[in-house]
Amino acid sequence: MLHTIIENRFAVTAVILFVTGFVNMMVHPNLIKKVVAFNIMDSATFLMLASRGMIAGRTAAILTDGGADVTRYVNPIPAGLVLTGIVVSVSVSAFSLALIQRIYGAYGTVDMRELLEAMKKKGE
Amino acid sequence: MIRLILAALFLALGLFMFFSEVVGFYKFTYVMNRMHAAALGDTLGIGSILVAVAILTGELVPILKLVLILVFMFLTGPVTTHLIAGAEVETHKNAGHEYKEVDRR
Amino acid sequence: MSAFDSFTKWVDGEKPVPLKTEPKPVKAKTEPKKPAPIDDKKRLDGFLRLYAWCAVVISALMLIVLLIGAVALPAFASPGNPTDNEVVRRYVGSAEHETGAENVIAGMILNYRGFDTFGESCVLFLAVCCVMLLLWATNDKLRAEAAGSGKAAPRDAILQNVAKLVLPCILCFGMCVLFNGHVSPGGGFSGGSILGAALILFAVAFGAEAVQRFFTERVFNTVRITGLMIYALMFGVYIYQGANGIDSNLARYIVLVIDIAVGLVVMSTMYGFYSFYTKGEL
Repeated sequence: MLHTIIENRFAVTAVILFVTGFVNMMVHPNLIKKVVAFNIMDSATFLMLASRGMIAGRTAAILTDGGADVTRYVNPIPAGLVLTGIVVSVSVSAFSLALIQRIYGAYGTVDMRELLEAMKKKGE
Repeated sequence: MIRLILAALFLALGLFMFFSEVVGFYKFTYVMNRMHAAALGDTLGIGSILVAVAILTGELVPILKLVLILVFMFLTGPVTTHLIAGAEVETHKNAGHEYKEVDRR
Repeated sequence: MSAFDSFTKWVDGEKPVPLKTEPKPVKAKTEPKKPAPIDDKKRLDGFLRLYAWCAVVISALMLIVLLIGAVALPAFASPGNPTDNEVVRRYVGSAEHETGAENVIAGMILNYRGFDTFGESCVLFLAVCCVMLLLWATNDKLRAEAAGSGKAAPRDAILQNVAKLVLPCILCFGMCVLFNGHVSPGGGFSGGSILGAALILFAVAFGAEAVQRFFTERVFNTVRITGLMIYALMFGVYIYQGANGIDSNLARYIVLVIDIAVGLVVMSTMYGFYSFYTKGEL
């Protein structure tokens, strides 16, 4: 058991990070902390993808010999996926932060609990 | 062997610095104290770890790159700390009592 | 008639039989109870506590399931990983010949998966548009505040001198990463973010008015729209020319130009985010 955990240390770290972010995103009352937790989840996903792409004894897919020996390079697809993921994560973070700024402008708080109460008061 | 021991010493120093940075950052409550703790790792921590890596590598071109990283870290880290301190001075509620007015221009 | 029978009848497509055939005893209508405010608060408290407990239980279950999955994966960096497949041979073996890019990742995301990266650029474009829409409504107040406080706040001498020292280095490095994206690590996204960071540092150190001299709202819109248009045009030409059958030297230039277009989009997006969050306008 311990042996397999050490063998898959990056995957285990990624899982722990992901669940940390998930718990914080669900439980934390502060909306900005929720965005931070979302970014932690993103990082966990990138760590998982990048660690899956690694193969011992091979280098990144930047050709120095014109691609003559394909067993010298790792798969370029995980790197491309991480690139895509980073761009989407940045966009989503920016969008949600802008939404939070508008919420703060409307209700004067970013705390989930106070926000619920304020929304109820406004509804009545 | 001597090289290895020297590198290990520098690495241990750097790790200790990072450890104290993280502890201080979470333990202190006031902005200036936290900033001070965070600034430790930015300069001495990264500096000693880079020195350790340079000792371990022992080749010219990577060492030059490490020196470049070190120079930029030493240029930018203290400036960041200074800016955080300036922002704290500007936004603190009773700043007039606690800080002297300084013309920062 | 039990509930199960009526359910099976409903499934069979017969006429649904109401569960309770006897009419409900008509309740005497009492006046609706006024919800006490303390009761309401208690309900919210209870709901939040229940929510937190449910979240923790769900997360613990998820942790267990994901850990089992993670441990069952093939070992880290072992050659038996599922990423070590025939795709590597195809990409690495023929990428330089077909796309002209020694950086296979850049060649892959800009040639083979060009539509995907075009979508990514559009995501960035849309994100900055959404931020603009959301933060422009509060603009008048913010603008008044910025006009009130921006001139009074002194610019920092230490920051300005360090920025004078560091900015040329950042710009050179960003250009280097951007223009060498097809032969070395880097490319449009990383180079564009470095250039955007340089712009942000410039704005922080010397004031947004200094950036206004050359990067007004008009230039901002022009740059990001032109970047997307160049991308669409070049990729359209590339597809129209028959994609993989194209000469590798021409393909290399196409990769370079698309990279620069992506870099322009990313740079203006980064500066746009900074600018909209700090003062609500460009």
